[in-house]
Amino acid sequence: MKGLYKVLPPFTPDYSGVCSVLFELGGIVVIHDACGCTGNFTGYDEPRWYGSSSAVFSSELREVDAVLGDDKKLLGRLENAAHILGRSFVAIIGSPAPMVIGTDYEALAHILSQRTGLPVLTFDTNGMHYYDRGASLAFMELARRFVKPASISIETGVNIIGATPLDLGNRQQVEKLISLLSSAGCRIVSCWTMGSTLDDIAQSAQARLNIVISRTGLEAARYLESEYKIPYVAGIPIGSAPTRSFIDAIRLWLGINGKPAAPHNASEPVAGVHNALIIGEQVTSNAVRDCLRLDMGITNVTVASFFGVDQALLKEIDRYLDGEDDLTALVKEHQYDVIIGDPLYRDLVAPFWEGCYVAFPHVALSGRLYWNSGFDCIGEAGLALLREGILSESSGISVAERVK
Amino acid sequence: MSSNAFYLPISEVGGVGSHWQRKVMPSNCLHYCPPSAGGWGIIRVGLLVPESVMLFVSPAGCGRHGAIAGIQLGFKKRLFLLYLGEVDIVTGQHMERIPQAVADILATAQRRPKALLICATCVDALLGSDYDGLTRQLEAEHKIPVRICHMDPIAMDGKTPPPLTVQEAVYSFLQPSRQKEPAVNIIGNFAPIDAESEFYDVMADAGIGAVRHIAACSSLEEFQLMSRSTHNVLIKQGGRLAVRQMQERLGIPFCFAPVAYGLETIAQTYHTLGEFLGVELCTERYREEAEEAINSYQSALGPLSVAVGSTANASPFELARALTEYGFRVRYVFADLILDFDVEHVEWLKHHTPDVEVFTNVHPTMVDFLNCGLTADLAVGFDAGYFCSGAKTVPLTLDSQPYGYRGVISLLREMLNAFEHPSNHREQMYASGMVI
Repeated sequence: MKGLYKVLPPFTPDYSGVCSVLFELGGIVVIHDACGCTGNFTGYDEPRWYGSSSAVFSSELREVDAVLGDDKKLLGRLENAAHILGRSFVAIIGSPAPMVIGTDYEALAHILSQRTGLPVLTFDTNGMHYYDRGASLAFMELARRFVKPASISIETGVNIIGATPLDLGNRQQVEKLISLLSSAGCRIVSCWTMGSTLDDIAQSAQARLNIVISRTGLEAARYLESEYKIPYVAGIPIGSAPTRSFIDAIRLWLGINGKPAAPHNASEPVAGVHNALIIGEQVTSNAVRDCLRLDMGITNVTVASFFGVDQALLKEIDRYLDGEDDLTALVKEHQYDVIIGDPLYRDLVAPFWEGCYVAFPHVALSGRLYWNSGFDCIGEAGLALLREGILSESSGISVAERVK
Repeated sequence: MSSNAFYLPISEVGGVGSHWQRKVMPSNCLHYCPPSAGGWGIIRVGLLVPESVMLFVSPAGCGRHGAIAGIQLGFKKRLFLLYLGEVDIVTGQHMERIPQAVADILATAQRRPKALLICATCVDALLGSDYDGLTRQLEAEHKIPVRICHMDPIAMDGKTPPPLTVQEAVYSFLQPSRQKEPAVNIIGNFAPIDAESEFYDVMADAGIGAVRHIAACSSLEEFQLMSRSTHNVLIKQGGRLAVRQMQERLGIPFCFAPVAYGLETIAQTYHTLGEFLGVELCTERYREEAEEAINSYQSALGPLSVAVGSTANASPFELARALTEYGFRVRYVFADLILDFDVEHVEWLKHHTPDVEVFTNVHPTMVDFLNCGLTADLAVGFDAGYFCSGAKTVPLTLDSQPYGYRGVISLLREMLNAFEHPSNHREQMYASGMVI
């Protein structure tokens, strides 16, 4: 039945996607809710929360305020927080209850901005959409509101757009990516939004190329392309041959001299693997597909996603999933030899499917359950992960079991 | 204090608000959710009903914390989620989809559930959705009891906040019974009183044949035996609506005999309980046992400085008082609410330990807690352990239930254990599966 979820937990909602993007930028980030939605983000969607001093709050909306449409209390609380915490912007993020009462976020932003002198961002999220929509809105808002025209252009400058723990899992993945790009001769102007400040992001127009590492960064990258003529590439380096191709492509874009990768020899297909399914975020899943194809010779690979998919990144074989039934039908129909995805998808397909399942944790599904698993997929580690997962499954030891 | 974190000297603690709970924090503040926030959550409490399943009807995001905690703690297989979309909100169509979802769940369940809870959220509270008619329809169709509960934190400051109404829903599965047995039901908490507690012997000596708790019932049938009990003992405020409903509907009177750690408070509680049951309860030897333990553990632990939190299985103010009476130095209390039961203990602390500082978990200035430099040797409760980051932490979670004089001994044992076998706070806290 559409909309009925019997096995999977809910995915990270849109408001958490916004919060994840804004988390490190030094603002006052407020979910307009009764505390439960904020608890979702702080407890289940944000690995950086423990020990953090990021100012993420709940507005503590109550029934009487909602029924009476009393926004004065909210404005007073926001103003008070701006006064005592002294941060650089305010973000007001919607949740289901204010959607029901038709909260006018633009009016709230106008009043609050006048009272505090701070930029006020608003996001009309409602918990009915998933994190990718919220994160995409937030990246777009950063591009629209904070990026300044550049007086200089850094020849080897790149921005990384689309970095959140919801897709990458942990900070080490971003650090590895930055290290790879730096070694290739790139200068990182900004990383949206892990490890960069709002000031770094404001300087983004100095870069000559945007590297979009998740679908959530695409809309912002397209805006920057139209507004500042900065082209973008979408991809993330996973595996051996794909990482070499990725680096070569970026060097080519930037005109950086370097020894090109040796021509790739087609890999011998892994015995017994005729087709594979990858379930997850689109850019990462496409990168995993490249790894399977180039490093392991597995060419019949479908990407399926419960999250939004971009037509430009889509292959004919790929699928958008609108519920558990879509995934079960897809797997029943194709009986894949290999499935790669968050460990929790395995619970859904296990009753009727026997094959090799490779665990590829995705915080936007399994949240805190695997975010400390030390998951590592960037570069060569990605190939090691997939190879080990696929080959060791036959000996009865799966990655899924080990990361638990 | 070197930081700007909001706190009150105990002498200034009074609280603002109405009804049965007063807030420590001023009302003009945003709400901070520290990682240590949470407890059992509505879903886990609802699923205390044996052999039940829950259908959670909400926008997709609302069920996330409960469902992931369910996977972590093993109850997810009894939880099903029906997502609402914008069209449902506008048209109310989701009410028409619920019967189909229930039929699907019951038809495909490996083992047919014997009870169903439907959990609605803030959205339905605002829409005024009528679940009463729906539950009757579903009961008639599927021949199992169906109840509605709410996870609507939007009602948290009202007279029927969700932590109370969910317990009311849970016990509303009990059917009136003509048969009565000299037994007590323990209400308000989530785990049976620890087997080591003297409570069982004290009750047996008083002629009480059984001490019943929902979490000890392995079947719906066994749970129904609670209707036969002659008395309800409310040991946590979360069950206050439930016991009133049971008094009215099942004719079971109740008595408030709260979990406490101070010897005088425990003595007073047993006295009240004895009056309620109409018998004299003999507890003196257990008190002596606890006094000996306090002396012994106090010597072993030394003059500790302690922080007391509100996630601990205790009233933070009563526990702070108890620890002071044992001989420890309580420096900080982390508390967001002052309940009726707390008032007497707040007053005691004002008089005896005026240097105690009371922080809230939720004030916006707590985001800078690392700069507060709060230090204590020992923290009781995950929240106290989080804010006093160098302290050894005694979680004292809701997953087990110390009670009475041996609850004191259990606490002291855990305090010593925290020093002998220190744990990583973060790992320990996330493993507990606490849900806001």
